[in-house]
Amino acid sequence: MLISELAFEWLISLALVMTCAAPVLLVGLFIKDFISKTIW
Amino acid sequence: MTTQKSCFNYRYILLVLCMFFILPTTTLASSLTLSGPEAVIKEGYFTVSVRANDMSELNRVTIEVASDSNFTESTRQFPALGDFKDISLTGFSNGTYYLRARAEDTDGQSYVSNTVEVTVKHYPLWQALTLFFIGLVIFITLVATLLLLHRQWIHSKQHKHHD
Amino acid sequence: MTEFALETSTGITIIILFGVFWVAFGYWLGRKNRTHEDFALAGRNVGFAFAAATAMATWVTSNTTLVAPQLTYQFGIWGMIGYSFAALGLILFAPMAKRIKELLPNGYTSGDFVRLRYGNLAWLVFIIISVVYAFGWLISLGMAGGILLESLSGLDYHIGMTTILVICVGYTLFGGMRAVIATDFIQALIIIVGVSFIAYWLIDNVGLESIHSNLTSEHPKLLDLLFPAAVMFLFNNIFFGLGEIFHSNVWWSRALSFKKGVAYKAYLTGGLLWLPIPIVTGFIALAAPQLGIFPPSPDMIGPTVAAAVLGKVGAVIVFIVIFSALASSLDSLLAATSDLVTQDIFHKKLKPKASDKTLMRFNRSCILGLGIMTWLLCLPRIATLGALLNFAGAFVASTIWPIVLGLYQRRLTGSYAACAMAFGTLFGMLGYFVIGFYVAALVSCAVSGLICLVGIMRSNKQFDWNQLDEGEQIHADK
Repeated sequence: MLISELAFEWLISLALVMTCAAPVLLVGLFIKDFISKTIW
Repeated sequence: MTTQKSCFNYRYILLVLCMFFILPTTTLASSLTLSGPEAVIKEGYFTVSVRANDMSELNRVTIEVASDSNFTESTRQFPALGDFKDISLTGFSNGTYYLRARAEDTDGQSYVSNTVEVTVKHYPLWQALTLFFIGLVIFITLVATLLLLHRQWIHSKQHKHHD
Repeated sequence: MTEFALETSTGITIIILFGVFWVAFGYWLGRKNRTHEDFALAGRNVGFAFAAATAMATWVTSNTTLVAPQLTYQFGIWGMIGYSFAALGLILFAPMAKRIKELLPNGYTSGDFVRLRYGNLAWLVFIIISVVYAFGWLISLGMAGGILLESLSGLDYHIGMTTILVICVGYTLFGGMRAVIATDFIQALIIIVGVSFIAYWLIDNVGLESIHSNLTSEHPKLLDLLFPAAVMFLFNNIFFGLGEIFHSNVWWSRALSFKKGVAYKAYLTGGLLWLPIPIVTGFIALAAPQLGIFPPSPDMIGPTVAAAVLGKVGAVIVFIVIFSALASSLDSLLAATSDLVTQDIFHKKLKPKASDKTLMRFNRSCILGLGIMTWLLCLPRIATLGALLNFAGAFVASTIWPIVLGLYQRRLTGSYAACAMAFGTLFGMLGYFVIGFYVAALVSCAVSGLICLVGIMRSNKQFDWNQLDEGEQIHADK
């Protein structure tokens, strides 16, 4: 049973989008912590 | 960057063509040795290595894989990377495969190796699925235990706060 | 004549630049450290952003950048999905981290917990498992570093391995946990941006459609959802990951160093952020056959593809990404293992009256000592030592049940926990040698779970949670 092309494309694209969202989220959180002085 | 990639493929296509039309006439099988896995392959991937007996340097090492020992049926070519002599091949279905290596020495003289027979036989699916379901059961038990115990604790904590 | 993707001088320049930066950064962060608690646990006050990033980055080991593509190259689609399930370890650790933080407000290590909860016998078994695992991991990281730098830039194995160790020991020594966590944050960003860039480039230039059609015709097994070997070790892999995270002090000391209320969401976020990464790195390997790339060994596939398609730029990116991945795990492991030795062996067993200053000094020498030991063990470049990590699955998976039950369940006693860990490991090893690598962690987890079940049914004792808090006792010692 082979994975269909559509599922394959979705899987990879979704993973890539999620991965790209990670740095945005992390930097956003960092700025929030930085402003509220709760980094450490 | 795109041109770089197409160059890359183009080179190998040229190489493959060369091998089909020119090389078989001038081969010396004795000095190129291909060694592959002895046992039956159960995971569909294996590594083969090419050794040259009396040549200091080998160029354009390529592995040919076919489903018959005469290399007439569905022959596939796998070029080695750079000047590496080992090649990892992957994604084979059940069956018997015949492999041989082709290479050139520094003068452009080409060689063909001995033929290696590799048998691929994947694990039976029932065996794989049995292990899968055993794992699944243990995993579900573990997750359920963890979440239940955690919830109990959270509840008892809230209870304490209310008292 | 061997061509390398990167000139040796470029490789050395990158390493030196990063090395100087990390060490200086570690030194700068270390100025704040006043007490041993500061040094070992970053003052127990790490905020959400750093907490989530460090959870993610530490779990992005060199394995995520090397083994995920390797497994994908060997097992296809299940290789990468299966590998990404290791995120479950982080996600399931989230509730436990919350519990740990509340149960042990003054605790330092996972060893602390096992000793207080289960007593000395179980503690001994646990420490042996931890040390075997930590050394297996340290050595495999050190060797992976040397081998990779060599294969990418032609830099001599010994020089590469030594440099990576010196840099990581350096900034951990100066900055302690603060340096480890802050560098993890930056390393996490580098890793994510690097792998996304390579994957995006592949999609843009090679195309998902053509990769899929090439695989369908040439290597259909790689797209097979019922690939027997891959289906078989899926759960084994998951239990390995759970065992690694649940027992290792790397994760416990992080949970303890986070600010109150942060641990749960930090681990959950870290896990979710980590989840797609192996799919992205694994995908890089799936493009290899289409590009006509067949590596000399499967673990080289990720870097090879990146370097081949992107040329110099790709090689530089791969170099930096792998260097960051190695460093983010190596520093955490050094810090967590030396905490374990300082706290559990030195402070609790040898010198219970040691002052805070002595502890900090001892912790520092421990980091240095571990670094030197790792260096010595990496010197001979024995590949089999790296393979140690393969059957570490049998060791760590045996701790899953005793840790989970120990944290929440009052009836499991020390002797049963010790038995569960010892026999779980033993049977796991037996499974590894008799049946195959794909059952080691599974058997280990199953056996230890059964022993724990018997232990709970037969025991009529109730553990008093207050015994876990040693807080006042430590202050009295000072």
